[in-house]
Amino acid sequence: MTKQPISLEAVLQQEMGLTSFRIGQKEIISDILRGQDVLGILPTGSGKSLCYELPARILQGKVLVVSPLISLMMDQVKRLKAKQFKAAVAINSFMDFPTRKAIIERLDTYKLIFVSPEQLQSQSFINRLLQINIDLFVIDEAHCISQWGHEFRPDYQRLGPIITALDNPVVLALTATATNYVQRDILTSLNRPDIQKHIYPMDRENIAISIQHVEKEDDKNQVIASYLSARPVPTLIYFTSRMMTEEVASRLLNQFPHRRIAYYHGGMDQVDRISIQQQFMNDQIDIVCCTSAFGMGIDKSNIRLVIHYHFPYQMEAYIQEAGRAGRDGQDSVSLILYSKADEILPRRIIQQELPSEQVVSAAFQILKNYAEQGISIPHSSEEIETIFQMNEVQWRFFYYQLEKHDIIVNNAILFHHETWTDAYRQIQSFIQERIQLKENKLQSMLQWVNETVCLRQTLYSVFQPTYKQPTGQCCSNCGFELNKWNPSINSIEKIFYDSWEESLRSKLLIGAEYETK
Amino acid sequence: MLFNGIILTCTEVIKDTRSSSAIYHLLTGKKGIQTVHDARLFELERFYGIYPGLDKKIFTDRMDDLTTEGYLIRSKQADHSYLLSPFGKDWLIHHQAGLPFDDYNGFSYSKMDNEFYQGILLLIQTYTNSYKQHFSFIPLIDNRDVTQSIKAIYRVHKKISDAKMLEGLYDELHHVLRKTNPLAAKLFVDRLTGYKDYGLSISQLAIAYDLSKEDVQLFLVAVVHLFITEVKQNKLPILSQLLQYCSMETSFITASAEKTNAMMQLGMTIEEIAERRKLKQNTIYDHIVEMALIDSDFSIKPYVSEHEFQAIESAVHTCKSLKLKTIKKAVDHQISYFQIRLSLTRIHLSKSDERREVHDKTTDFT
Ligand SMILES: Nc1ncnc2c1ncn2[C@@H]1O[C@H](COP(=O)(O)OP(=O)(O)OP(=O)(O)O)[C@@H](O)[C@H]1O
Ligand SMILES: [Mg+2]
Ligand SMILES: [Zn+2]
Repeated sequence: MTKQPISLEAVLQQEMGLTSFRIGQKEIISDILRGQDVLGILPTGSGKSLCYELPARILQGKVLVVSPLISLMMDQVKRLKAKQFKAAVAINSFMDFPTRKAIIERLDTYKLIFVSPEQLQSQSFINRLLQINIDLFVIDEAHCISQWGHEFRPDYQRLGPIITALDNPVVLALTATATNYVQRDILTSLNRPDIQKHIYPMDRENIAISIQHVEKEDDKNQVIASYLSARPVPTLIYFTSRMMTEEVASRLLNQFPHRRIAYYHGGMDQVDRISIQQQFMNDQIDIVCCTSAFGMGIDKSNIRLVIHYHFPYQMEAYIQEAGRAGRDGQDSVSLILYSKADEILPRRIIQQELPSEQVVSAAFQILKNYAEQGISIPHSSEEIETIFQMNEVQWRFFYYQLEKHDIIVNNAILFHHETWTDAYRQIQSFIQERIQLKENKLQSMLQWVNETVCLRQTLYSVFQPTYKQPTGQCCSNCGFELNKWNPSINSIEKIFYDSWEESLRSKLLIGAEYETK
Repeated sequence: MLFNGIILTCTEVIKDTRSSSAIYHLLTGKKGIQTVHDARLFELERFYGIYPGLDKKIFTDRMDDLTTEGYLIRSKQADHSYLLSPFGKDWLIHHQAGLPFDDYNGFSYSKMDNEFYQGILLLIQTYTNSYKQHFSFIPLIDNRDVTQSIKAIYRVHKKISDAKMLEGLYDELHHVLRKTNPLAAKLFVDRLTGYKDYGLSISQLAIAYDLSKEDVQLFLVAVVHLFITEVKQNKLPILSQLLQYCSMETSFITASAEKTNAMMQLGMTIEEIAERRKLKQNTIYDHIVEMALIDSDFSIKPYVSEHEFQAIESAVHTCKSLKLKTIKKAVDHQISYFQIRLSLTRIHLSKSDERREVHDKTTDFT
């Protein structure tokens, strides 16, 4: 590949202005530069991005990064540009067509290219990538292949063949959370059995874990209110429903009119999402009520408190979300609010993520009729919904399964009696298996939430044999107390202006020199 | 309140001659002949395309709410059609004055308003950060055209200090904002992003001012339209440069159509133009229809003879339909789809015809 330059430390210093590598970074980067495929598992906030940002400045060819969240990659590119690395670009479906076309035409002028997995499904895009020589293929948040892959992100599952189509560049798969099972999933899906594994303990010693059991929903609001008034620090509050983020945000605003509170979820428009994210990054908002859409990869150094209003359905998701806290290394708290009633919804949602047995059976019958009569599959999701009784998520899953079993090829239905009987049986049992798996994961989560021994020990034991000594308090089962937690507080209150003129002057920095702000 | 006001105003003139989707299409700026025609017919051009992102469900829910609350009455004559109730009429009379209806100019501005607005936002973010020597800020806007315009403006004014530019911008913004609805001015200012000071999102504004998100959106569009009007009328040097860039970029299709028109004036045939511009003939047809739709002085005579036009017009009336296929079947087969589309931009239906069309379930305006 490339000649190894003077020393990696020198490049780190020169290119990024950083003095030393953090744990694992140098080992991973050296392997990559040697042409070795790598699976890197490093804790949240430990600097995984650097493992490809630095090679992008060293390698001759391009670095392609597959990233699951559009807002995440856009933010990362903006920050790279802000740090004077202009050769980074993110291509996604939110771009208007001319912009995207212009970027793809000039693709060879970039070094670091972020794409959504959907973008990689386009053959013409792959052809374009083949012209520009990809040296390194990065899969960020690689657990998506397994954790969500089957249900939500079939496109993440299709990366294996794409890597082959791109003439097998070096592969780097990164994640903060992967059990042995998930690691195997990743290797199988990418077809990289000989990948070099760099696995580091992923426990976060500066995050204290507290689980509080409450009777009913309203108790949760009271606990939150008590935390927020006692410890006004940058806070994230996680919900599983979009509506609840809005509801609780407006309730908190009523209760604390002088605190800066907002909500964030995937149903908001793009500009608003960026604006909330940036306000939070910029310390203009202290509290964000959000769904899991706000999370993965968010890198704000001083989040002190992460509250789970609803617990996530998997330990991995919890570790990801709680891992937003204390990225500057200072003591922080993860608080889970749990009431018995919270268990009902997740069960239902798991069932709804996949089509039921009857629905699949009926769908096969419909498809058979279509094949016999030469009818093509409808396009609109409304038609799909009425004809097949599947929502969009279920349909995407089902469609992917049909493709996998060669029942649908290039959008056309191929009927063979034998393959169909076989496929039918396999798909049905696959669905059962997935549901079972998810329910098991939920079950372990529930078991952990109700644990009576040390929460740190039980949480991390699934992933690794040991964990580090916590720097602050350990967990609520080891005697965590709120009043022993003393985060530095620089609570800023909202500024109210009397008139829009005054506010406009302040925004435009008119007479800023004379102001004492 | 503003959203309600607009719906009520539209219903007041449209009455039950159209289903409520006509209002939805109007507000979202649907580019069909029927919607453009409606905007003209009912003199609602100013609302055309002022809310392109409006969700259909939010709209229908609001229609239902307005009905439950007694502002609207469901029409007995036609499905999904509404009439203004006396209560609704009364409300409108009392609130009209406080709402910025007159600031809208959707028909002319809806193509460029968003880009112009994004330009203002980015311009202010750029100059405030530059003034503070902070060159690594994260820009609020990604759109490449907008970014290019701001870069160009920044380059042109290189010799002027950032402080002077900000003062200039302040004067221009102030000049316009003091003419607008005071609430709208507040929303506009709070949404601006400065140096380390990100503007509020739509939902934050909605919470802060106790408005619906739709109202916030519509108030902002009203301000932006007033800005465009003021920039066109007055000499606001910085903003008029911005507007120039925006109208240049966004009128792209129209510019292309104009080019077609210019070549037409030179006596070139459609085939020749297509050949020369390396475009499909159908694209050239689209240009011509587009020009006819937008410009009521545009003459369609070179493409449709008087005789052909009459044939098409009478087919529309006998078939009671604006559907291309239906009309095509009813006329001489030598008349092309292009000629029909072109003629439709010039056919005005009498009121009674329209009523019949709405009640005739088989007609379909697409
Ligand atoms: N060697 C280093 N020295 C100093 N700071 C570093 C170093 N490496 C990374 N960082 C900083 O650490 C922060 C977190 O990095 P990054 O976002 O890459 O974490 P991550 O491992 O991807 O976390 P997550 O799993 O949450 O996505 C960043 O702000 C980055 O600039
Ligand atoms: Mg990351
Ligand atoms: Zn413990």
